[in-house]
Amino acid sequence: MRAGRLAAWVLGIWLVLPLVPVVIWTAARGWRFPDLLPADWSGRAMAQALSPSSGVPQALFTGTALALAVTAIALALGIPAGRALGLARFRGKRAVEVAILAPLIVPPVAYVFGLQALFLRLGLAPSAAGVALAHLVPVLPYVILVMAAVFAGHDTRLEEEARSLGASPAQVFVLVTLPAVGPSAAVAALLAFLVSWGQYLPTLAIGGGRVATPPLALYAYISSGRHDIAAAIAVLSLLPGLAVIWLTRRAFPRALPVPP
Amino acid sequence: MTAVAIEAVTRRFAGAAAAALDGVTLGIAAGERLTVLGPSGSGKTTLLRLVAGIDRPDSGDIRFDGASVLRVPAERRGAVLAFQDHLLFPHMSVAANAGFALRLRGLPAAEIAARAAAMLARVQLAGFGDRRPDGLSGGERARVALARALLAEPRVLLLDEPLASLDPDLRLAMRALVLDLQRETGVTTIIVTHDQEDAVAMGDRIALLIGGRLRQAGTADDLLRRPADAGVARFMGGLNFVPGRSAGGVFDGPLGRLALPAGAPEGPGLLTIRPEDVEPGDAGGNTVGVRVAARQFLGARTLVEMTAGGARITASLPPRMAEALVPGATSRVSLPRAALWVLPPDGGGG
Repeated sequence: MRAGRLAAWVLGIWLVLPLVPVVIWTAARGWRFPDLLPADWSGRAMAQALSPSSGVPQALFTGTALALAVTAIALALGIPAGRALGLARFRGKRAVEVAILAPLIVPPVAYVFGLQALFLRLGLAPSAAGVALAHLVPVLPYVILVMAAVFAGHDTRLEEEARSLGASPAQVFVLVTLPAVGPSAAVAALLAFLVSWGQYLPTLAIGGGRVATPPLALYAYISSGRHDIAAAIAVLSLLPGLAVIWLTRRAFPRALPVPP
Repeated sequence: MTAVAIEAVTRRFAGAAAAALDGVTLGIAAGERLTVLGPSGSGKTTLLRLVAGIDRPDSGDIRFDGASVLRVPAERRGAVLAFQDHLLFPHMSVAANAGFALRLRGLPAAEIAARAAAMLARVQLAGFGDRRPDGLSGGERARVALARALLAEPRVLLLDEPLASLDPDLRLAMRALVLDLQRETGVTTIIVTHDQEDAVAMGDRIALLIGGRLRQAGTADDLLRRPADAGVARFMGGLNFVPGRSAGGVFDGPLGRLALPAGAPEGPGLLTIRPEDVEPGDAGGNTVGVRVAARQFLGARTLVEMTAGGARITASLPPRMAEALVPGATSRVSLPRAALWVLPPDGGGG
């Protein structure tokens, strides 16, 4: 128990520590090598990042809309697929599971340019729809595998009982299935949103620079040497993710393990 | 009230060697209580699922009041199946569980609440409406499941092992409650059980299912006293099978010549008598000289094993009546004429 707590603290520090210089950069005005802290402080970087001319507010909006759309599509496809995979027993099920995991094992560099060539031919690139489809490649495996694990422990007799009592298939889904798998579906949606939110290479390659999301804005400012504005974008990029986690916790208090 | 006809129904599951149900034909009269009895894996639950419409037969037909229901989906068939283990919806209160079917029909919330509360009171759960299912005992869950099924006002009520997983004292109370409610509502009811005593106590008639085949359907007295074959007799607790020949109302075999009741089958066969029908002494007629081989005290009953003319006879007697039968000694027992029956020679399954 004590060792577990220590490990949790180490992990927490490991994850939070890199954010500290990012937050300092946001408020720094000149931060040179030997100095432990910046010589002077300023809110200028954040103000610049938030001004419409920086393109950052637009990128935040595009990224959020894109991630929401990708999440909706991923749930619509991933819940039925996860149900089939979780409940069914068939020959070669392991092989199907590995195939579903493949996009997470293969690095994006290996498939993005093939995808780009295909989408160009199909007229899907450059476009936001094409970017959403490209995001589904790394997003869907998470949703399907989370939902498959949920449905593997799901008692379908509850649904049969509801049908026998007179519930139509739609009523069974809304009144019985959804309450049973809802909290887990919320976790899957959270993962889907965050994975889509963090995509860089597929967004750049398929969007052709026209679909500007926060990661693209971030890299643009880093490569132009504006570390303060890049840091401000990084801090702003944390907000939708934190908001989604907060909303998930509120809607499904038992869905996430972390105490509030 | 609805009459149910099950006609030559066969259900075969992919990958299974034998059919789960094999050409089962069975009629249930309107308002009747039929118990389907059989060992586990005999196809009892499969039969209920087919009548409920949750599963479809590979061949055969199921009719309610003469009309085939095979094309009617489960939710519109009016056959409500209460599953084994008394599955309640875990995210709903007891009242919401009980009133589930009424909610599906879009009744006003106040009416649903009133009718659910009344039904819960009827199953002795007044005041339980706001509780959650995970806080209930097994007996309470069973009664909520029964209330939920009855509030759906089914044409046919299907109960899968309603008494399994209940403690012995709860079993008796639940058995009485099911019988009372069935009589009040008059709903045609099929009850699945693996327990012979429950089947006898709860069914107007009993259908015995073994290995997916209907072995015999009839009253408890038919199955106990006039079983169709040795397999049925063994499942119903029969222990005595003596080979011989039946002719002209007399059975000739190793026990001598014994008078048979009217209507007993003729020809070569097995003489059977239930262990509890064997009487010590001469008073019952059809007297047989026996040697007592062993005696086993079982609490409420004593089992006495005897031999006579190379045949074995086992009696199940009240312990005090068994005291006269001392192991190693010879004695006389009666095999009353009315309790005898003749089965076809052993060769069939069972």
